[in-house]
Order: sequence, then structure tokens, then C-alpha cells
Amino acid sequence: MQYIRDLKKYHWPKGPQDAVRLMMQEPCAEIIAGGTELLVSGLKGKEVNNLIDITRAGLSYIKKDKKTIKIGATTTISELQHAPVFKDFADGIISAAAAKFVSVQIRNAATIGGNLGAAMPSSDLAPVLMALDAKIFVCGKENKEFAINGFYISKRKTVMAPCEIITEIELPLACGDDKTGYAFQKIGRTEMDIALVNGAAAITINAGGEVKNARLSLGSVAPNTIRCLEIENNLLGKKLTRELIAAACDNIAKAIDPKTDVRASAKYRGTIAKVIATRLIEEAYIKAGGKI
Amino acid sequence: MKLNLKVNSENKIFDIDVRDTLLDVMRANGYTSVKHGCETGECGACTVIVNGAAVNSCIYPAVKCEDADIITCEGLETNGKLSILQEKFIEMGAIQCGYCTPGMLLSAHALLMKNPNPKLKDVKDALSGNFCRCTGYKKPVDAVMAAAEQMKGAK
Ligand SMILES: Cc1cc2nc3c(=O)[nH]c(=O)nc-3n(C[C@H](O)[C@H](O)[C@H](O)COP(=O)(O)OP(=O)(O)OC[C@H]3O[C@@H](n4cnc5c(N)ncnc54)[C@H](O)[C@@H]3O)c2cc1C
Ligand code: FES
Ligand code: FES
Repeated sequence: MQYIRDLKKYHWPKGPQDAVRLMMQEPCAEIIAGGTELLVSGLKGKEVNNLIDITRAGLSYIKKDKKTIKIGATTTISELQHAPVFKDFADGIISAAAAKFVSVQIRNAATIGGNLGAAMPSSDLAPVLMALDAKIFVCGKENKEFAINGFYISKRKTVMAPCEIITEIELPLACGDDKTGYAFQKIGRTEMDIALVNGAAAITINAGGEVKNARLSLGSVAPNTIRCLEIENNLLGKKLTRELIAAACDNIAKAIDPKTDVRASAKYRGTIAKVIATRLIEEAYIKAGGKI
Repeated sequence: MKLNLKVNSENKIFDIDVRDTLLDVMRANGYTSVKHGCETGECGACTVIVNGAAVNSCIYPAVKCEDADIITCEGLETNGKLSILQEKFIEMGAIQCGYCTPGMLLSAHALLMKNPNPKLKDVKDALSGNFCRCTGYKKPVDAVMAAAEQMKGAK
């Protein structure tokens, strides 16, 4: 199969600026990283004459300093899964999400930048990165920085302008004495399938077990991965119990907008979203040291 | 355009179209163990090892393989002698029609290159991207575990 009928030239930029320059200069150009999305469903109906491959542009790395972990955009899902720093960081939710990401073959090619760039509602990394309050660095005419909350604006659309690429994802390291617990959950039809519903949570508690900060994100239940701000607010300042968590998630239907597709009905997704949200909060609270 | 690469330890230069997938190029050049299945990265029949990592060749642009080191099922045997892994697949009945087998063998081979001491869950994970419509999964998984055991003994 010739994967792109109109393709004429394949480019290998040496760095992100070089990639941006090529995007501005070449007509009908697209960025390609692992190609696992682009070659399967990413080009429907689009004419593409130029592919700009950024996997040799120096963007494959994981670096840790005192305050942050920085992940280069072309770091593969396998590299995230096996990186020693992600075994413990944030209760291992990055490697847990990477391990649930389809198959070894896809994980060896697929990249974190491609995952965010494709802006699929079923992304397994987006909920995790939202729970971790990640920042996304973008290179274009100028360099920009976005919080992941707000990076997605509508179905398969991000805040990025044309001719911009994601270069780096930055995760803050927890500081201070408060304890934070993290959780990731994914429900799929099979181990291999994309999520019917997925999500992640980060809950910080004080010495008395009261919630000081909460982040809860869900995927596959709206046009993009979402933060559930109202549920988060319902948890603040409280010592959690099962009843309290259930009550906090009662109005989840207001936060989500699930759709019916070949995999599941909107109704099923709505029901499961509540179960997943409850489990995530409970798991993260317990991992933070809270007692339920 | 020309593509320089190494396939099963031999240097090769293939004539390719910029639009070819690695699957197209392998099959066109006689490596027909690389099977054409779903074309969408789901079934694993087209698995090859590129620089030590198993990938789905059906969604892998061939141009990405300039200077790459590739292993296909043809490269698993040495001087006409099947590898321990291949022998175990036969011995333990891990093959029926055989369509999925080259992909399974390469996923398992890539695992054993990195991890000669796999646990059952590692083997299941390594084969999770390879669909089999006849044998099922128990026998292939058992065959990989048995091969790992024998390869340890052989060292
Ligand atoms: C069988 C199968 C199963 C899958 N299962 C899952 C799953 O379980 N979970 C999941 O989350 N995903 C899944 N995916 C989707 C896909 O593998 C991921 O989204 C992957 O991370 C995409 O990365 P890539 O590097 O291959 O992207 P590519 O295909 O190279 O690119 C995807 C899109 O992002 C753009 N892009 C790439 N890199 C950048 C960048 N740095 N900056 C800006 N734009 C960029 C491209 O132009 C393109 O539009 C699956 C795909 C397949 C084929
Ligand atoms: S043919 Fe490549 S994964 Fe099915
Ligand atoms: S043996 Fe027939 S598909 Fe696996």
C-alpha cells in the first residue's frame, strides 16, 4: 500500500526550528513522528506532498532536574514505559499508562508529541499529563508555552497555530511536605483496544487527611480529554469517605458529553465515567496516605 | 530513490518509492515471511525488528529505515538450522495455518534479545500485538517460555 498517494518528498529536519522553516516553506506539508496515527487515520481527505519527520531533530530525551522532568516530543511510549525515573515518579502513573498503550509494536514507534498533536479523545497520555499539570512547549515563529489544561479546544483541535510543533512536555516535581497520591485507570474492550473511558487523578492531602488540592481528568467521554473541575472543588477541604466521593461525583453528567460509537454507547460511557472517577479519587486519596 | 540498510546482517540497497511502507519494500524484495494483514497496526502479522525494536511494518514509512538494521523471520535461522525459538513453536504445536507465526516469532525474538529471563507476563505483553485466529495464545506463550528456558541452558 502506498500510504500517501500525493507524497513527493520526505524531509529530515535537524532541529525544531528547521522543521518549522520547512513547514512554512513547503506546500501541503505535515509533521510526522512515529506515524502510527498519521498512516492509519490522520490524513483522511488531505492532500500531502511533503512529510517532515522530526524523529531525528534532537527531541528524544527524558531529563530530570531539581524542579521538573522534561520529556522531548519524539520520546516513544516504550521509552516512557521503561524509563527508570517513571517507575516511582507520581506513583508510576506514566509507566502504567504507557504499559496499557496497545501493543509493543505501536509503543516502539508512537511518540508523546504525536499523541498530544493527534488530539484524540481516547489518548492515554493526556489524562495523566492533566493530572500532573504538565506544560507543553511549542516552537513556531516564536516559542510558546501552554498549560495542558486548555491545550485542547475542540474535537481533534489544539490551541497550536499552523506551522507550530510540540517540542517538549514539562512535569513539575512535587514540593513541600504535603503528600500527593496519583492514579490511572483505563477500561477497554480488550487489552489492545483504545479506551472506552480512561482517566487519572492527583490528590494532595495535609497531615489531617483533608484534601488540599485535587485534579481529576477523564478521556473518551467528551470531544477531548477533560478536567472535572466541579468534582475537584467538591473534594477540597474534606476528609474523604466513600459516601462523600460518591456525592462529589453525582453531577458528573454535567461535566461530560459522551458519544455513541462502534465501541460503546453514550449511556454506557456515562455510567462507567462515574465508576472510573470514583475509583480514581479513592485510589489517589489512599496513595496520598488518606484513610477511607 | 535508493534505500541503504542491513537486512538479516546483509548490506542491501533497495530501489523504493518515497510512498512505500516497510511492508511493501520487504515483500517486493523477497522477504515474504513479512505478512500483509490488517494494514492498520492492529494484527502484528507484518512485524519486523528495526534496530532492536519490533514495529508494525505496514504503518512504517520505508524511508525511515535508511541505515537501519532489520531482522525478519528469514534471519532467525543460521546455516539452514532453525533457532531454538522456531523449534519450540513446532515442537509445542504453536502453529496452525502459520500466518501469524513470523510476527509472533519476531515479537518473541525482540523480547528475548532484551530480556533473556522473561516472566510469563512479559511474554504475554510481548505477544499482545500479534493476533492469531487459529492456534490461540496459550501454545505460543508456552513455546516462548520453553525457548527462553532452553536458551539459558545452552549458554
Ligand atoms: C492499532 C492502534 C492502536 C492505538 N491505541 C492507542 C491507545 O491505546 N492509546 C492512545 O493514546 N493512542 C492509541 N493509538 C493512537 C496513536 O498510536 C497515538 O496517538 C500515538 O501516540 C501517535 O504518535 P505518533 O508519533 O505515531 O504520531 P504521528 O502519527 O506521527 O502523528 C500524529 C499527529 O500528530 C502530529 N504530530 C506528531 N508529532 C507532533 C509534534 N511534535 N507536534 C505537533 N504535532 C505533531 C502529526 O502531524 C499528526 O497529525 C493507537 C493507534 C493504532 C494504530
Ligand atoms: S498488517 Fe501490519 S499490523 Fe496488521
Ligand atoms: S496459526 Fe493461523 S493465525 Fe495464528
